Amino acid sequence: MAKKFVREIAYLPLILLAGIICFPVLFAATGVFMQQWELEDYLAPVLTGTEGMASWPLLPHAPTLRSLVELLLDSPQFFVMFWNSLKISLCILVGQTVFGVPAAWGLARFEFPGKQAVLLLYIVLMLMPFQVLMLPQYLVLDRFRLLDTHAAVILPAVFSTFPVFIMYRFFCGIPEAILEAARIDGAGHLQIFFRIGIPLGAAGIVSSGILGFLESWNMIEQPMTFLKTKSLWPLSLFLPEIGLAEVGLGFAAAFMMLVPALLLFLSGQEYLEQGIAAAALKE
Amino acid sequence: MKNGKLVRITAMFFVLMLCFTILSRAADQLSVAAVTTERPQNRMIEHAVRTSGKIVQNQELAVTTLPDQRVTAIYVREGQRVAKGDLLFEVDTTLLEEQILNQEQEMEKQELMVKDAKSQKEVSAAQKANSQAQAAEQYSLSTKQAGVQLSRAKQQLEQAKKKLKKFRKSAKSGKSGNSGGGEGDSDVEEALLQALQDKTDAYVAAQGELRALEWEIENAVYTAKQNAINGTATLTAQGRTFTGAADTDDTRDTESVAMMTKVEDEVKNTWLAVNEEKEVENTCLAVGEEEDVEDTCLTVGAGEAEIVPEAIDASESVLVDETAVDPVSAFAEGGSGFDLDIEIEDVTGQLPSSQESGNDEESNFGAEIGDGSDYTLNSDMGSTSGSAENDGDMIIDDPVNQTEPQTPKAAELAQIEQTVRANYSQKLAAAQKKVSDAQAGKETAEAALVKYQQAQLAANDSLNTQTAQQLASDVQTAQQAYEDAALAANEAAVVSGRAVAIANIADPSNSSDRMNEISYEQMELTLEKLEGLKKTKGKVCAEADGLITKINIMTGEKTLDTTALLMADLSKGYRFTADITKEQQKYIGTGDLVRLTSGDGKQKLEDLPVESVSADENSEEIYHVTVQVPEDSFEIGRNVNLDFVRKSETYPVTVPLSALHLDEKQQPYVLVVEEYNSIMGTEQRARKVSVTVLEQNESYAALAEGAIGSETEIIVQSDKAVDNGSRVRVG
Repeated sequence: MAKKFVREIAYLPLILLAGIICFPVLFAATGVFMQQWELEDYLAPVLTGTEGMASWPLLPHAPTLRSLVELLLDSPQFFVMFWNSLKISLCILVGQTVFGVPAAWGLARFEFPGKQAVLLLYIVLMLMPFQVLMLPQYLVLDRFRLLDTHAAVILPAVFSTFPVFIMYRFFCGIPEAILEAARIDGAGHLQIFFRIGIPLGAAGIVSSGILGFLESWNMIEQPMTFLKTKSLWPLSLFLPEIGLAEVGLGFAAAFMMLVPALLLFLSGQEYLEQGIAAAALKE
Repeated sequence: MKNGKLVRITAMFFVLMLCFTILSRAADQLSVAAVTTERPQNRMIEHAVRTSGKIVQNQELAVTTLPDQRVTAIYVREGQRVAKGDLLFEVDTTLLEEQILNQEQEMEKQELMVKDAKSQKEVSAAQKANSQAQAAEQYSLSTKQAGVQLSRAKQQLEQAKKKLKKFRKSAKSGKSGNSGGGEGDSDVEEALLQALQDKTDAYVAAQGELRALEWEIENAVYTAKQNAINGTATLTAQGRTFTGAADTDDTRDTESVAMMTKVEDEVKNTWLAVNEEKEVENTCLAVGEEEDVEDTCLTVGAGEAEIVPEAIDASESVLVDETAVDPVSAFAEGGSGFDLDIEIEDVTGQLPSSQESGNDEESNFGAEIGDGSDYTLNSDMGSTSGSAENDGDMIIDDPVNQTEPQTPKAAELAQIEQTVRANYSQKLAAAQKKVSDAQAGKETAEAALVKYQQAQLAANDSLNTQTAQQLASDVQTAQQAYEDAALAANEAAVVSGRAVAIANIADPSNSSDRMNEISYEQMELTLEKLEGLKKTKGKVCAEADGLITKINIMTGEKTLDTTALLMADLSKGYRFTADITKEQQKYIGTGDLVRLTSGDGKQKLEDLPVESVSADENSEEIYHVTVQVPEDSFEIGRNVNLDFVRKSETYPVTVPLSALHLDEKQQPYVLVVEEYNSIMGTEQRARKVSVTVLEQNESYAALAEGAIGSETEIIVQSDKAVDNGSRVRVG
């Protein structure tokens, strides 16, 4: 009984923390239904520099769908960016799948000289922030005349090291005995990869895919640096274009931006948890 | 949540997003203006001047006839062509002959009036001269009579006094043994006499002052009235000049004033002469107190010549300060020596000794004129109360005077007179009071003297008393007679002097004779015209070939003073005339070759030079253009259209006028299409480019080079309002 009480007590700080973490989502959700004047009232100290502190109510004072309607019916620019974002994200996802999965399989299942060095290089590159890689990437893209195209954003992400690293861990987790049995049955390398490797490492592939999608969906530095033509911009650059006069539109856009990521996360939540757990257990 | 459901939701989400994408793009396109563009062209700017006008004659002839003639027949109608000498209309000859007869009779009357006027003018001149002479005569007569009366009264007074003194001397010598106080009594009586003398002097002086003040008042009233009349006379002068008569109002006034001044001076001089004598008398008085009165007076009066200049100086100084008042007052002072000798023979000697008219008559005349009627005479020349010599002139002048509405009315003049008199009323009252005071003083002194004399007589023996009383009474009577004579002389001089001044006032100008002559000449001219018409048997013919444009007369009606017929003189050619605007006037000028087309378009005349382009007298916005047209091309009165195109130089940048806009500062600009990158891709928008317009017509505008290139797409039309920065779609 006492044990149960202690556990309940322990929930309190957790609930509190969860609330704090969820607050930005609530913030975005209520902002969508607020009138423009209401938003200006609350955010004026932040956006225009007037004195005082920004405040935020839990519920809108005068709820309205105006911002959402305006965004959906009167802002074709939003949709241009939305589809740009989707295109970039999907291309990256496909690319990472096409190139990342074999790379991770190779690193996990084949022994060759310099394998450790390659792994080390992968880890080092994975740890490097974009700011470090920006200039070399820019120069390379310029040389390939890929600047100001979607390829400039997609290609570097396709060959990103992070998904390879994630999947490497999953592929490493497949018992050698299974692969041995397959070889005994006469399976070749490709058959083992497609019939055993991919099904068994599906959780890793999906989780790396979800993480990769979220990353590319939210990426902001790369398009800002490599894309000059506005019509190529992804949705992440829509918000910086919004001023105080359209802050309602900004909240609506942020809300709409959240929807695909949320849906994808919910779809792959199981694999993601599995993958993370598997990786953790392996370690 | 199951994965399948999630996938469906995701799919639905994306489908919805696709739908909204399409919808939002459709909505967006609705706000974009569809525009039409053109590139600048290399072309000329043409200015077309199109107007319609009429063909009119170059010269118009007016056919006139004498007014008041009855029209018996009109042989032409409006729009009819006539040749020189063609009969136009006819007037009634019977009425014409009657008018000629009337005119001749009127002329005869007028001739008689001219003669009458001339004769009247001569008569009035003679009468004027006569009245002046009469007034002068009257003046000299009345002053002389007054002098004679005065000297006579003086002699009688002297005699009475001598008698009294003689009696007293004899009485004194008889009583000297009895009474020692005889000398003292005589001194007392002398003192009383002296007091009486002083009082009498004061009385006469006061009377003189009163008279002088009355004269001054009359003079002021006259001046005020004259000013009132002159103020309006200036206005009426124009009217008189129009009738041809020279206006001499101002001259007349000046003359009359000069004359008045002259007469006043004469009066002054007369009294100056009297004054000299008075001074002598005063000297006599001074001397007489010490010595024997009789002897000394005569001696001093004749011998003491050095005293006279001083006396004259004193009088003159007074005369300088005052005007007509001075001689009167001086006389009054001089008349103080009633009981003393006055050397008046010098004055009276200059006057004729005629004494037919008595003093009473003169006084009456003076009073008559002195009551202000003389000024009434001046201000109202037309009145019959004026002097008889002016009667003829007045009758002739009457019409002129009646046409002067500005002449002040009798009521106004009366008011002016009242005002002036009111101003003097205080002074007049003071003077009258002074006279009455002086009279009272004199009477008191007389009473005292009489009382003393009675007391003394009572003391004397009863025999002498009666004689002495008689003598004293004589002296007193004589003294009163002398006083009266002095006052009468004073008044006679003033009154007759004034009569001379009035007689010398010039007559008003009279131009009636010349005016009648002018009327006669005018009648003569009319008669000539009537006879001229009679010669042609009342027929009026065309003086040149022409076209009747207007008929102002009607058969059976009488002709008026205006033009009877108007006709176009065909021998002088035709011209086209039309109105153009100020804007059009810039592009057409004298000598430009224009095309004229008849209203129905059937007849055309090319390359006719413009004769003139002139501004309208009344409106700045309208100009008249005229073009000489050849004979027999268009008919008079026909509507004709004029066409002319002025071509400019070739401009490299010309745009349709619809592409040109004006900003809020009235600066011209055009909108060009430019492409720009946006989130939606490459879009087009309008951009404002300020330009300089070199020339423009109703379709195109030529722009200065530089701002716009020949390849620039310029928006010339749009389905929505487009401004700088508006998104557009080139359709």
